[in-house]
Amino acid sequence: MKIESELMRGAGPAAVLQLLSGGEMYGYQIVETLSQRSNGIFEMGQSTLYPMLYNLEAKGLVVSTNKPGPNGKDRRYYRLTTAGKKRLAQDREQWAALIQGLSAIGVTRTRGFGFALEG
Amino acid sequence: MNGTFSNSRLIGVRSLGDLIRSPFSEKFNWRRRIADSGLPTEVCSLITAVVIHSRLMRYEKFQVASDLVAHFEDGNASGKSFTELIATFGDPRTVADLIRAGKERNRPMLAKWFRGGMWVGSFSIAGFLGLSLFFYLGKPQPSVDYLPSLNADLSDVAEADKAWPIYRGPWAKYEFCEGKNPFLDINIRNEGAADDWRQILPSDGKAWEKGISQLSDAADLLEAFRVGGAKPVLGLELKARIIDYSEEDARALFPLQMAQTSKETRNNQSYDPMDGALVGILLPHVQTMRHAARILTVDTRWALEQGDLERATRNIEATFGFARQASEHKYLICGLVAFAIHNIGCDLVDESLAKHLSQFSDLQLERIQLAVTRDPAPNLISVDGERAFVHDTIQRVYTDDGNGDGRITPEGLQLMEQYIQQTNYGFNEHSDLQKTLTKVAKQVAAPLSLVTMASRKNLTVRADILFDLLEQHFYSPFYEDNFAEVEREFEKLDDSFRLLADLFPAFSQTRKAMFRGMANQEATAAGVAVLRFQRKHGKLPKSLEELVGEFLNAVPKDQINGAPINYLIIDEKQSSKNNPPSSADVGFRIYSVGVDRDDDRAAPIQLHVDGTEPVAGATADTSLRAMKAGEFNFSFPSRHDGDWVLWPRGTAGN
Repeated sequence: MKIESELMRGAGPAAVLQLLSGGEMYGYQIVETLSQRSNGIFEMGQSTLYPMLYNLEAKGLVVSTNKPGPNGKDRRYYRLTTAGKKRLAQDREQWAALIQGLSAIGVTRTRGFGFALEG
Repeated sequence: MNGTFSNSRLIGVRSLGDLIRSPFSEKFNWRRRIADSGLPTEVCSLITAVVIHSRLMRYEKFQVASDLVAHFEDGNASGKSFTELIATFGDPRTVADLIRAGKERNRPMLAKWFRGGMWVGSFSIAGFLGLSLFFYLGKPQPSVDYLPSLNADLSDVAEADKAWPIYRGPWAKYEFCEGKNPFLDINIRNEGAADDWRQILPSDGKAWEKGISQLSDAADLLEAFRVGGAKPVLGLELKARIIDYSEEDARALFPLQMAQTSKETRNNQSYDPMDGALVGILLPHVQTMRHAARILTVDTRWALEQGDLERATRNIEATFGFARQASEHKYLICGLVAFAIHNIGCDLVDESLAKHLSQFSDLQLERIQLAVTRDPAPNLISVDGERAFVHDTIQRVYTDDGNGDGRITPEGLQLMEQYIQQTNYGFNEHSDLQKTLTKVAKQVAAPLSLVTMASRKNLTVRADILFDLLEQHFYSPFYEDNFAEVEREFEKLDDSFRLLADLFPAFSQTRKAMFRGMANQEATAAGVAVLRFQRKHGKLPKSLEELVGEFLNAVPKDQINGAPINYLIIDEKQSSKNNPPSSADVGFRIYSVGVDRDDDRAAPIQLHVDGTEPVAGATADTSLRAMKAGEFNFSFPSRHDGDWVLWPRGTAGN
């Protein structure tokens, strides 16, 4: 299922922060993991991911470090900062409230994003 | 390993040095980073397109290239084909825009400052280059010939009333000109004063003999002085260049140049010492006439020794005629020299009458008095020429947009520099390197004058305001007007009006010179009138009012307070105390109260120099010369205690 880019723009950062709360990852690893864990809902190409990562870094929510990846070549690894952790906690609350609201009015019938937001 | 990135927010740029070097450093060669990846050409082209379109700084492009290379490598390693990865990549331009937005936000402050600085620097350089082009394309286009406004209107003057046709021949014959002094050996050093010269006296022995011998040999020149000096006008039309003068005029005015150069050379404009601008116009006749006045002083002494009172009287008349004729052109310098000549005349009257009063006939005394007063001192000076001079210079410094405005030009700046160098401003150039550096610095900085110097219109308007004020106040008596309004307006000129400030005449000093001229003229005329009264009535008048009518038109006013000039009869005992010995027997004084504004009963000024001991033997004239212009407006009793004794002048017997 292809998600509208507008929706993805709001949910993407929260999904990436959530993913990084489990430990540092490099770019392609984030793309693959998101796709696998969201059952293909978060199919994020370079065009979305890298600008998003640069934004998160600009806001101080993640930091990057260059170090060798699994194939021995340098990869940029991203990890959450303290600010990123706080932001993730806020995002979780807001998404939970939003889903609850959407459910209450009948837009959703299940807690569709719960898998990601509850960690 | 491609780059050693830290986890710092600088991301690979560790210092300002890195930022500065990044555009050139191999460390941030992002094209090589892509080429070395070994990815297929299509992928490399895609990544290159994104990086180029991101328009980021070089070190940022390197980071983006590294991320994208890694992404494709990892995607391929996970089993996806490059074709598939390219298909899901998206529009490179959109990706580049998004990356750019993210990266720009992510820039460290140092990078933002650097980037901002680069932009500001680039704009500044571009702006400066534009300004330079604008500046160096500007050329002045002088369109107004101001010279006719400086020449007297001679259209209605009969040839017989002109002095120049009389002077011309003898001047050329004797090469009588500035730059060839002493033409006659009439000057002698005052004892004990290296730079203080005076004209020879009968008591100077051999020097006197030699001088009068030379005078005798140049009898036709001296007669030309006397005949020409009696003429109402000089009648010389100034020209913008030497080659514009007739051969006859040029030989009289510029005998040295004419003798040293061929006609062909003179016809070459680049040789001409005058460049057509008012500022470049030479006025050789003015100083020559002052020299002529000094020659007549000596000849008058000789005439009095010989008992030739008529020649002495004609010499005196001619001297005042020189003053009138020197002032014919409206240059300020002409007026100042005219005052100087007029003062020479007043000194000559004082000296002649002090020693030979009884020998002069009544008519000769009357003629002398008339010669003194014939041209009122204010008529001898004009500020019109200075206004024309400023406007002429402006049109040679600025471009002309046809609406009274324009911008400063390279030629104009060079012209200004000449003026400024004359006022001892600028660099001291010692070495060739220094000269070269100075020249380069000036050429680079020159276009900035477009923004630092006033526009042509502003300069013209301010010049006219100043000259209007100057004309309004220049001729007003000192006791009515302290001239402060002009000085205040002048003080308002900031550096952008430097040209005007440099060109504007030293009006306070000039006005002081006019005051001296007026005071000397009026007191000398009154002094002669008193002597004429004394001769007729056998006694001195009790007051100057007694002279009015037969001997004097009106009692002169004291320029300091506006009251009638002071007149004091002194007896022999008093006269021997503080007065010049040669005038002691005259028995009266005409004097101004001076700047301390109190009547010291004709006690001569005790002139102090810098608050030290008074200068002995100071006359009114030496006091006035030493006084700063502003001191006319205030009292300086400790510095200028005493009165300005204007008659007798204290110069007789020198």
